[in-house]
Amino acid sequence: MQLLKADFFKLSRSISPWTVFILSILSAIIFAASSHYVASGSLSLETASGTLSLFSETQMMALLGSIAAGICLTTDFENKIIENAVSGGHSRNAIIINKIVLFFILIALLYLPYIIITLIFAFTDTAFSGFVPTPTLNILAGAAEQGVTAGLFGKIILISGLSLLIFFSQLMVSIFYMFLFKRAVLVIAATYMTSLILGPISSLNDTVHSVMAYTPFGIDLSQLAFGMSGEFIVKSMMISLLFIFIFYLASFLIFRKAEVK
Amino acid sequence: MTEYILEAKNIFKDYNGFQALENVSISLEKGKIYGLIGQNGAGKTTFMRIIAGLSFPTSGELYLFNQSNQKSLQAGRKQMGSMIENPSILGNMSARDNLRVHKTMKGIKEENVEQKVLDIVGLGATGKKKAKDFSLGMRQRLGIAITLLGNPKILMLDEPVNGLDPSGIAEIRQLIKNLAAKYQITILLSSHHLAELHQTADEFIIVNEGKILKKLSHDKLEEQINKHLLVDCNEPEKLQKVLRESLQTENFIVQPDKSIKLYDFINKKEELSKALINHDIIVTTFTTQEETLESYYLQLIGGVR
Repeated sequence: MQLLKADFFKLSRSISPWTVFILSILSAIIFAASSHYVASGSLSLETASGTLSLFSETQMMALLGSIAAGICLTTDFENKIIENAVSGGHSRNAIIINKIVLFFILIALLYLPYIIITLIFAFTDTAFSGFVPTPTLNILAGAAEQGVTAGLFGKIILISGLSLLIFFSQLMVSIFYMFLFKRAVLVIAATYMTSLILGPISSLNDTVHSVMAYTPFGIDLSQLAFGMSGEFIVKSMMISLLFIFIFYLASFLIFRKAEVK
Repeated sequence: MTEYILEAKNIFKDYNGFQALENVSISLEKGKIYGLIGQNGAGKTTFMRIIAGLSFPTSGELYLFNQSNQKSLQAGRKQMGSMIENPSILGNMSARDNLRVHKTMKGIKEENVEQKVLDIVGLGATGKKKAKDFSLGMRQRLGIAITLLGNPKILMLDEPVNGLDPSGIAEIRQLIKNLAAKYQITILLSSHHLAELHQTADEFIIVNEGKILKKLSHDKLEEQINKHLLVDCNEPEKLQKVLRESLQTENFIVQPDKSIKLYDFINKKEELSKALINHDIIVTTFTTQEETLESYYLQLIGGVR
């Protein structure tokens, strides 16, 4: 808890987390606006599906999450904060767990603008197009059919919560990279490259697809919608949690006896 | 029985075949200042890093407050302040905010402790100035201030006077001495400023190529670097015999190059000279010398005299 408090104080005094957060707010607004203009016919589907789909939460979480892992977490190695934590008597396991918790909170904050926009507009009559099958647009485009009920709120929270868990589990590789490389630039590059490569690789052939299906990168995000099945929810949660645990373990094994520099 | 705050027993550290530390054993007593002397790459920083938990020994045991298991060592490190190589400073923050980060990490509840330690190191008036705009000396002071948070029982400072001007060096020396005397803090210092270390430390640990060459107290060092006569000649063995048998003295040291440091006869040079001539010894060097810690150290490691 001491480490987490210190990290939050440190981040509150730094410009970079705020910059990443503002970028997330802007991209959420642009993405939702694009969806609305596609639905109202002011914007062509081709334009939106191309460049504007880069503002989807799936794309932005991979990009901003990688940046956050680099500049908010890994710079602690460069600033010798990790060194001071170790020499100050904190166990290496506590340091890893602290970083995982902090990173989860950061990812949740980065995803928050998308959730807030969904929560606001799902309860209005505004029309949205599901031009890219992402959780945000699945909710916005399908909310009209659900009717304004307390259940709708619950479903949005469930879809958003599960999406957050999947995004976070995908980004857990950055925690491992952080303890492996100890350099922010390398962590940003490696995490983003992993997201870019492991997503499309699933469709390479059946064997790869069946292997990737057991990782968060193989979860079909288009199913994160009002009609998702209980089996999909449980399976996605299990895969994500297992992936988080595996990368926690890998980080622990690599950092347990590592030289801290 | 002597109370040891920190003990290292037979520490070895191997980096892919390179022996960084070899059978290093030391015991640090409460309230004393220890000076760790050695060239770059001698193993000083490696040793400090092992104590701080940043590196692990290949073999050997480390005891902090008489405990050696991992959990106890971690608990012991909570009572330790260390600044190894460069201080841990966030450039975009003021000195006070930097201290607040480290204070929070250490779980220190004490109010206004930041100002207290800033005043101790002479940075009390830096206000909102960001650490990235600090001079090297100010950064060193801030690093020392960070180590002082939480009233540590052990301080480990690697090159603490690096970048400080002469008055800054004198202030830090006084500060270190005060901390040891007033608060009974055990301090392990390493420095390239041997003259400075000579004035600060109570005990000296000389390391070379990963091994401890010598451990000696300040008083013992003073004896070792006392005024003496340096005598070199054509027959060193005969010279030793003359000193022992004819001049009845054992108060001399034979150096690795066979020259002799003689601590007697400084005021009786004529008598000595006459004895050497009488025994047909041809003297090639005959000078009065007073050593510094630096020359003593260089002589010990077989370097330049």
